[in-house]
Amino acid sequence: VTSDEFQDWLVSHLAAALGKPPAEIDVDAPFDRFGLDSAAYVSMSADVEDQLGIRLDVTDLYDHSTVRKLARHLASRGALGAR
Amino acid sequence: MNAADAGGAVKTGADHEDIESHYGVSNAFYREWLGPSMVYSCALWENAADLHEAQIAKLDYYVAQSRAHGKARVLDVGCGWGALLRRLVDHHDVGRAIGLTLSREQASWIEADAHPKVEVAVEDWRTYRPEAPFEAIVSIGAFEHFAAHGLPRAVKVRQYADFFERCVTWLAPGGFLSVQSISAQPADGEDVSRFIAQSIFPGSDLPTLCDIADAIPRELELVCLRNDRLDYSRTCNEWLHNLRARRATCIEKVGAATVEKYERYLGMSAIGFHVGRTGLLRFTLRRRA
Repeated sequence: VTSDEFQDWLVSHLAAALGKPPAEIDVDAPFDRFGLDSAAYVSMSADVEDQLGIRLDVTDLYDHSTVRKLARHLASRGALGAR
Repeated sequence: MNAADAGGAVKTGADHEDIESHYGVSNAFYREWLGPSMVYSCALWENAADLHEAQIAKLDYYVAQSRAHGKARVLDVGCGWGALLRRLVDHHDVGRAIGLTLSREQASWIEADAHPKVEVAVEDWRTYRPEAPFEAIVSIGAFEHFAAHGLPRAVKVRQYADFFERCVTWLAPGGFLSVQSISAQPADGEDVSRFIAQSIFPGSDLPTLCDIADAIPRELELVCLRNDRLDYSRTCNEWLHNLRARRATCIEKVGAATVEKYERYLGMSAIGFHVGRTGLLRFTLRRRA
């Protein structure tokens, strides 16, 4: 999975969870601006783990709190391929 | 549950039923994600490479803080599955380690060991009457249950004061009491404590640092206080990782609904400690000689 593919997947995932069109998901908007509560963060971290087959702590979503920042973090960990 | 739901007498803290509803879920289930050390409280990550090492480091920290090494009698209030009791007698030359728990499941686990220097009682500290004083007292992850959710602040503080005052009477002069407790650090945002109080720890509320400070009697002197909330965030992350990795086995033991509830609770707890909505206090008090 490349960084772009991961970002596209996460945007679709968030859009589906929020019942919004993907075009409305800003990859530079902090997750908490989407109105996610902590239970939603917990399931999101599990979904990313399942998608990529990696470990992702729920608290990583706070430290890397936008779609783009999370992709950058995962790429730096070697969890995503080059774009 | 809050005080008003208890009916009749006002409920002051978690009772046997409340504690059993959480800690009595299933020993086998807890073992899956707590690991073999069966320690269900925040670890101490300084210099530790993994969760097991961090839990042992935490136990040894409390032995050191309570100056329990080599002592004849040490009390553990809220002893869980007995990890500290075994650590005291096997590694720290303690003559007799006595644990209190409200969970019969936990007591059975300890009794199955039949360790000659370890004793466990299924008893509330409120009714406990030791036959002799203790040279050290430790309480890790039990203080959170000492006050019921929804009590007026003065009544809540009274519960903590009652605990400290009992410890004064049980401790030899100059003896140390060391405590670990989650604390509430109220801020804006969602009310995590409501979900925790209703779904995870019925009958319990969290103390604030002010509640604890107000409850400390004059016979006890504060000698050490630290907030290691990021240690708890990391511990919860480890537990959640273990639980997810063993999800299928855990579902077999307790069902999908319980596993899902614990995943949510551990994740929310990790977040709470990470952002500072909850703290992790480690503090030590000395009985004045």
